[in-house]
Amino acid sequence: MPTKILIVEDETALLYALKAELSQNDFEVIEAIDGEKGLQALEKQIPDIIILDLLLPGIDGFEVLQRIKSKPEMKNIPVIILTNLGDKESVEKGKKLGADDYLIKTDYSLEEVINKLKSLVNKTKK
Amino acid sequence: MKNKTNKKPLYCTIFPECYKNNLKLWECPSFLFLVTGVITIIVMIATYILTNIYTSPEFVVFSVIAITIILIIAGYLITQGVGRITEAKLTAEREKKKTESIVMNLSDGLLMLDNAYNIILLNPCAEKYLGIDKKQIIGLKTFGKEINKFPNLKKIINKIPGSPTDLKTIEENILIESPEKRYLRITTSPVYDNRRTFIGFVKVLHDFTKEKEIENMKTEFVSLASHQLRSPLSSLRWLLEILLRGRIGALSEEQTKVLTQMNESNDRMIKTVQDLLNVSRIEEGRTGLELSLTDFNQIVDNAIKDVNAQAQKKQIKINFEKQDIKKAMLDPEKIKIVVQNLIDNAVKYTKEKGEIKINSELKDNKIFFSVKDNGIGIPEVEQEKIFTKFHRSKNAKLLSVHGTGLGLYIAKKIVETHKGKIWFASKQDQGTTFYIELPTNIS
Repeated sequence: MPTKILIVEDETALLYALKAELSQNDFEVIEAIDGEKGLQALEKQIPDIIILDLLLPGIDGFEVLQRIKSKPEMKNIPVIILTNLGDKESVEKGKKLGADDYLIKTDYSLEEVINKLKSLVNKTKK
Repeated sequence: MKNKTNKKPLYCTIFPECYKNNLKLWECPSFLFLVTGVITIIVMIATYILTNIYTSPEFVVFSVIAITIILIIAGYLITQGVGRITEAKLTAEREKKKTESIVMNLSDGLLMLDNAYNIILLNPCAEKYLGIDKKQIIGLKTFGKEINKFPNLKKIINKIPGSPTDLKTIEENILIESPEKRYLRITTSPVYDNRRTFIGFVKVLHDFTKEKEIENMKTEFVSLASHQLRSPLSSLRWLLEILLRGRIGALSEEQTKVLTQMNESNDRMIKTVQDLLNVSRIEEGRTGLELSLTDFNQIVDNAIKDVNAQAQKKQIKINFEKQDIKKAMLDPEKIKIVVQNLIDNAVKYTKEKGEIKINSELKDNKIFFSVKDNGIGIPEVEQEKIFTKFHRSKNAKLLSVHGTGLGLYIAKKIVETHKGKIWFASKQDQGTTFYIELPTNIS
């Protein structure tokens, strides 16, 4: 059974790269190019894990995260924030709002990100 | 600073105006009156005795003249003394008016407390900042209950700098919400009179709200700019990664070579953005350290692991001799940057089959760390500029084109913020050793 992953990311290049690598690693990718579409996708089906960008057109990633955590059927889905916003305040805010991890894109290779996803999914399954 | 009071000479207790007006004994009118009186009495007695002995009229004339001269001199000295006292009083009055005018028109707030910590002065600027009329609080006891009626005042007067026997100047930043939102920098200093007697505290309230706003705007800008720079770089990084892995079809050897070089360029750009971001953060100055109990040797081990691939490619041997160092109060993220920089440099600037010796030890409650290589060294002419921003030595540029010239600048700032020291010894073509000393901040 492939792991279902929702990616909320507005940059098509990144989405492309993530999809290419994730599909090789037994992941089924659901894409959303902004926050609203991401929340709509969540209404339709619950993924095993969410990747969330922060700087999005329309509502930002923090708002999306807050809404996810406020809905009982969604709040237990593990969320990894994947962004290039690296200031201390944003990291603290993300963690406070309940993100399971906060990763700066330029700090990690795609392989490292996938590994983090896999370990978080495994942790949640237990 | 110990409270020094000069020992009061005995005459100052007998002639108090002498003491008050800083006059010497012979300038003091009361003393002169006393002396004149005593001399007159002595002369009168002497005249009486002597006229019983000497009956010559010349003697009488002589004594009268002598007495007159003495009285004139005494009178002159007395008027001088009185004149000086009056002048001193007028000067004091003038000085007082001048000081008052300065205090009233100061563009910073001023608050003064006496040595019993009661408020004795509040200038108009302080009244404006705190939203308080000075009539309401002059004479207010700062440790009484009434101060609760004035929350702004309470915020400002809650600290005594130092202990009563060891007073010092302190600075603190406070946010006032009403009547207007203001960031105030409060400098509290003890005040002494001209005889070094402690008479109270003065607090200067400086409004730095504008500077704070600019600082916040700068931080926000740097944050957004770094995001805007990093977004395309991370796209490139991951796209190159999937290409190099063959996810989009197999690659020829030539294609792999080209893509690998693109990847390396991109990595360098990512590192440059990171360095610029670090410099910007460090130059903000007021960003503090996030201290926590840190295992220093662990940071070194990780840094060595990170360079392992590159070192092996150049067949460079790395030897780490570590002493057991207990956990120290350091900012781990920032110290990681420093250690990584020194070790990266050692590998970068050492030729093939070179050797790097790393050493860490604990001495006198301080961490001593050194990275020694037998690489290209630093030419003497470049040595004094080694820690400056964007500086890269000529021989470094010849060996490798990579490098922002920011690494050591950042490292030095971080070490110094930790109140440590960084230095080096180097000889061109023989090698370089970098040393760091860091306090553990644990007794």
